[in-house]
Amino acid sequence: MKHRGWILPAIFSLIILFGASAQAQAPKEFKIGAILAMTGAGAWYGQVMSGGFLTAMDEINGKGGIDGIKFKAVVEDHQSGSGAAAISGFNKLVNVDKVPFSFTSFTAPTLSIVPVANEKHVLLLNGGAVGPKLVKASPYLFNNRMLAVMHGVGLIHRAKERGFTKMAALYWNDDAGIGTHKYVEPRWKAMGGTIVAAEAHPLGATDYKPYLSKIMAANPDFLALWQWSKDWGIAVKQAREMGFTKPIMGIEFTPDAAKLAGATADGYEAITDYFDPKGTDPWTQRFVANYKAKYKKEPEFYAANYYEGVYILAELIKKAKAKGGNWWNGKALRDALVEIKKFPSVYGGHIVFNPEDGTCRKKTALFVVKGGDRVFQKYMEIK
Amino acid sequence: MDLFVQLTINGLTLGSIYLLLGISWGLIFAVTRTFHFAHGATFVVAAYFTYLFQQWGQPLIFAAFGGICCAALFGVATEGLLYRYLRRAFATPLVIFIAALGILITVENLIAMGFGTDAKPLEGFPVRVIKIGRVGFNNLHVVMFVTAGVLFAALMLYLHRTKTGKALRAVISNPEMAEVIGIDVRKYFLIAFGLGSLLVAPAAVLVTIERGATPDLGHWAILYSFMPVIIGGIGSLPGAALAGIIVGLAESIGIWKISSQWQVGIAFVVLVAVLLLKPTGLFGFRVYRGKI
Repeated sequence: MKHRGWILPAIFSLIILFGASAQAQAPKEFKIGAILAMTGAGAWYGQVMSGGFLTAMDEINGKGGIDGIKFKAVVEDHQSGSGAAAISGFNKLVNVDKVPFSFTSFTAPTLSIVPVANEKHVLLLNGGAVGPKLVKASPYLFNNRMLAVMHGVGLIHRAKERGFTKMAALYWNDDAGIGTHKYVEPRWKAMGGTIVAAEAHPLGATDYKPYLSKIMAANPDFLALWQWSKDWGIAVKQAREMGFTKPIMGIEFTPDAAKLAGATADGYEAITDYFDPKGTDPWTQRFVANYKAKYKKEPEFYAANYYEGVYILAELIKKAKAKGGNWWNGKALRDALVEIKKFPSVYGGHIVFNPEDGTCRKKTALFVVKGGDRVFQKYMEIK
Repeated sequence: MDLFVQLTINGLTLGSIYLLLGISWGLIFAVTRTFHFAHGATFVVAAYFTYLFQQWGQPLIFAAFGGICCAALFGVATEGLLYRYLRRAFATPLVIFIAALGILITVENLIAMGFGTDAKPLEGFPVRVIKIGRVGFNNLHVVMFVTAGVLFAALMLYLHRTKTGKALRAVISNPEMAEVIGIDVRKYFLIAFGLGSLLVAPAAVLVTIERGATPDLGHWAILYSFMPVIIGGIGSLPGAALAGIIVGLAESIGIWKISSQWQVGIAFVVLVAVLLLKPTGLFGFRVYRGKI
């Protein structure tokens, strides 16, 4: 009986100690999720984006991982924009695979998984979607690419610089396209411009003649494209082949779309994230070499964003682990991101996150297409 | 007025493609009563094999010829290696429909695996812009219109002037009676699939020149294959041809006063309106109940 005084506290202490060590116990592997367009019209994105983060994982895992723990990715398919498919895949990632971190892409699927991410404290990193609604969408959502509205603002400043006043806009009929147009429209008008035609089209449309007919009839000074994927290439090609001779400007450049447009893309101006696969930064060169060895082609900036995302996550893991406690969870990773804010970028230089709204600032530039390839013109300061 | 003329020209070029899709699928359906959903797969096969032959160094014209032949072989193979055995096993039309849908999805996925999902352009067509005032089109659009007209006329001549064509019409008209008078119906099923696939392949090549090929193009193709047939009237190839042009014009001119994004919906409005007013289609004389 006389021992009762110390036995109970000792048992409680053991329980607390055991519990604490179990909480802080490192995972066997860093299992992370990705909700990407692996099938459907946007499957190209899924391939490029997954190629980016798998290349980074191979590099880190090849060096033994982070303190001996390796990355493993579980990829779920949102079928090129389906919110329902995204939620289904994300629920599986959260409830079955128990991931604390997930890559995401496309505006609508990303917005659809945000409530679950908030509830389950899963950190989301988007390196592809550009929709305006992604701004301040969730404390757990961060974007490591510049959003479309910022590129759009850059475009209208460039249009003003070239002395244009009458804009025609052709844009995706979704959050990204409509949102960008609505964001840009009042700013363009405030700059003294007018919008003589505004045509929304479904994602992945292949026949732009109806839209272009109306645009040509409106006689604009230039055509602004708020569209992505291969769509801009087809739109430019069909516009030129219908005899539209006015300047065409957009916020996307991808080599596959440029190939599709062929010689008709010459003169097309794009304001977009500036990732130069031929850049001289040693990290850029290493990424390009490893990506090319794995996929036999040069990486797009989309691949660069997701590649970079893994290294950002690695920094978050190190920071969270150094702080101690239960570190392998979304909240700890988010706290680490909010604290660090500034990370090295595979573009060269740095990427800086704004924890207030989840956006970032990184290299953005004006390009013009010549001979099927984009040619750097100048950096753009976008406010 | 410029816009109206422009939209009419757009409608005619679009309608030319729908015409080819409609008469090719309509011929197969009229002869075999098979809801050949894999017609979309034939379309994709034609586009990608043309692309493949071009990658192997063939000029566009030879590459297109190769792609068209591959599409015809593919169409014949779906009948000879699949549908025929399903019919022999007394498969219901629904089972055949599901099998055809399976082929379309399988082919699209195989193409995506083999070629990737990015758009594949066909090069080598010397596009020349033709501009009249603010109205613009190009020589490819002219080729589309002329190709559709020539192939439709050739098909009609073939069906009315040749022995094989007349036998095909007999099978369309009454397959049981055709068999009774000694026509080998199975052989004509193969011919119908071959001919139908030959007719859809040029449309695939022309569309790919204009827009590039993607693996999911087959879904679009099958949608606009059966729509003109139903509007024109099942069993009537001139009906399908006319309906193809009507759908193209309606989709194009329909956006004159409304937003262009509703273009696809216009085709379905036309479809529903025609079916409400004339359930057998514009030129259809009867509906094959229970066989669709």
